[in-house]
Amino acid sequence: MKFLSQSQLKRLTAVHGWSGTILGILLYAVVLTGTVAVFGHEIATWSAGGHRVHAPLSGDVDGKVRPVLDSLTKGYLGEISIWDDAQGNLVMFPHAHARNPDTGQMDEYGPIFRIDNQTGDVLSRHDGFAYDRPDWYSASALEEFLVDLHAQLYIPQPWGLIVTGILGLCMMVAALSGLMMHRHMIRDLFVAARPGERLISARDRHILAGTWSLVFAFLLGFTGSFYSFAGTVTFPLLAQVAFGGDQEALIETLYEPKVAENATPTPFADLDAILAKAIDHTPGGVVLIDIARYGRADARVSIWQLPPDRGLGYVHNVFDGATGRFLGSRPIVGNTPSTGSDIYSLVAPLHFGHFAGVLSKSVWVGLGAAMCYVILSGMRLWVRRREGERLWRGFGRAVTVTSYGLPFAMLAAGHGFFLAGAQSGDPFLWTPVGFLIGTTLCIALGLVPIETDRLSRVFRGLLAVGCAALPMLRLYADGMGWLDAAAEGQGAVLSLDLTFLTLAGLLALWTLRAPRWPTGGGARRMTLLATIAAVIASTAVLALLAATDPKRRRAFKLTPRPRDPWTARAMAAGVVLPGILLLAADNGAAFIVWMGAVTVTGWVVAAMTPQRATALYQGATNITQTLRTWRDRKTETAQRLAELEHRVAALEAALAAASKPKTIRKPRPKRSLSRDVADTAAAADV
Amino acid sequence: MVGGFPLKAATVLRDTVECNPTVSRWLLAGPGALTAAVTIIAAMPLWWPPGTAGVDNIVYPLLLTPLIWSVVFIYTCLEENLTRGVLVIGSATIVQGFAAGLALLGVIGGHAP
Repeated sequence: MKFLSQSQLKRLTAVHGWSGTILGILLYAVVLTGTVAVFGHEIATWSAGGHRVHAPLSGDVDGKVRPVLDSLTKGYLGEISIWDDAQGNLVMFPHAHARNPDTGQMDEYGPIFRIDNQTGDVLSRHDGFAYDRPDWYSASALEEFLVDLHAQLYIPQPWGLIVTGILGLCMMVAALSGLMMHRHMIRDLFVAARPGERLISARDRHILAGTWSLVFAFLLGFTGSFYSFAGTVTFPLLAQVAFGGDQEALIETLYEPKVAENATPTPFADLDAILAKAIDHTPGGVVLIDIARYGRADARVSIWQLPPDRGLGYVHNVFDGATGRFLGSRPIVGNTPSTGSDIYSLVAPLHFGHFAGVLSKSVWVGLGAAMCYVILSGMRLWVRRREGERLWRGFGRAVTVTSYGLPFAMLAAGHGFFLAGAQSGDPFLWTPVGFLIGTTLCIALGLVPIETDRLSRVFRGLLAVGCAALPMLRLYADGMGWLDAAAEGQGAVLSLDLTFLTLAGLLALWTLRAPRWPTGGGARRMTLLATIAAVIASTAVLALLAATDPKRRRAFKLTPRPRDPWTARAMAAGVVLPGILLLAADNGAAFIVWMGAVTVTGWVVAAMTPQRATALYQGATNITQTLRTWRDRKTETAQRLAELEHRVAALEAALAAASKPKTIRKPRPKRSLSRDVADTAAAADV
Repeated sequence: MVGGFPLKAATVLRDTVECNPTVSRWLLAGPGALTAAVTIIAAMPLWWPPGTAGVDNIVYPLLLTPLIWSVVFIYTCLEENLTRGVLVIGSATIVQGFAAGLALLGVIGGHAP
């Protein structure tokens, strides 16, 4: 920004560089694990290996939970949470609150049940502080591990959350300082990086990727540090100031519906009827059922549902637990709508990116990958400027080892998970052990005295092998086969297996490819042209997808045009293909530009009505016609001018020949001068 | 002499800050910014309007915690006049900290929004 003085810029550069360097490796770990955890639910379904279709909480739930609840003592019936795990089984946790001796805090205590969603049989029961034991309620140790690694870096509470919160703040400050330091942000948005391995090229690539992911970095840092600090620092602090330290009172004020107390024993309403009403009212799938004061006249049922179309936040529908009457949709916080609640409800979708299903999750993954590139390129840039110092060379080596080692260790965690499943081991033990083994192997490789480029190639090869082995190990560990997955509609199984195999192929190509960097202006033009061509190609396919979309055609009352699902899939692949080609060409910066540009053009294409598109087409045709006419006129004028010039030149030549002095005698043909002039003029006419 | 002590204190503060600008800025941007942010967040339920739902004075400090720290931190980095920076951050910390302290002791503010 231009209003900053030199000293302010210098300070901001120092803050940007040092904060990124000191915490960059940890930040990379949090962002990369977060990028993978965006698909945590799909990873859970893929890894859980269940042969049942993952059904939402609907249908016969009452008949499965009521017998269990009726057999419990009243002490546990004050609060009951019900959700479904990755295998499609019901998990029910009736609980009271007790002081946890491990943490010294009031925590949820009670029996937790896993109930078969088809037969209603109780598969397991454990009693205790259940949220401390993921193996009691989670079907996928892999998902738990990845989420834990992302949220608190596997550091015990509350310190892990505080560390990730500080990293979130660091990311916000890096984004803000980067924004303020960069003087020509908008102008440089589409300027391709200068090619080559020079320092300036590395700086260009970092700035380009950073500029495109700036808003996302700020949002992620903001929402991430909110989640980290809310439970550990802010919540207790506000409870202390506003509620005299009573956190339960604060939770009730924010999250629980107001109820007039009435302890009269009353039979609980039909839960299935309540679920049907909730789904009728809000078309999103049910993700959580909370029952308060089961078996009393003042019982309440909270149904949490996925956001409906065009919605961003979860929907919270409340029912009377005694009569089954619908009491209304409640804001996420408070009992009446407020701006605070509206903003609060945006935090989760902005952080998790789950508001539009796989599409928004894919965009979040892409932006997360861009953030990883920004962090790594920033650290490498910092190191390159200090290559002369041994300490920084060592740091550069650590950056290389971490950048490849962390994804490899995450793959190793997956291998540990599947191997434990195959050998009847404990996946909740072997998943982190697999990660540790992977980490140790990478650190050991980093200590081998080979040059960094070679080391990087070794790591890429390892990553390729790790990716290729994961689907095979899953199948070896009695995972669902592809035909079964297709038959049961388990899209996550097929998609993730194919993703890993594709990644393995791309990494193998990258490993085998000799390192080469184009140099010179021609190469730079090629990069820019390749990016523009990729964006145009993807946008063209997107436009085709939009034009042939049946729902869109119905909505705009256009002539229906049936489209084969495979054609739609092929076109969707066609949208992504140019980006993959850019990546395969080792053109990271172009890939990020392509990703951002296609997001924007895709949005424009989707938002444009057919009338506007027609008007735009007409306008473009008119402009083209005008340009063509202008070009034709210009060509005609140029031709006439050329002819005239030619004629003038011929005449001048003839005139010069006619006025030539006769003093110099030289042999000449036996032709008259007038004949020569006449011949030249005739040639000019021709 | 009227106003002698505050003037003298301000002079001493300015001299101390200007003699050690690097250390002063580090202290201001590190512990200073953190303390200011924490006291502002702690006192926000007392002065932020509760809104129609009666929860905004809790929800906003909860939500804005990262942003408040970032703003204070960036300000401490950008402020050219370090003495003025110390005075601004120090005053904010004292005023907000005093209000939050009174609330913690139960002197002001209710125990519900």
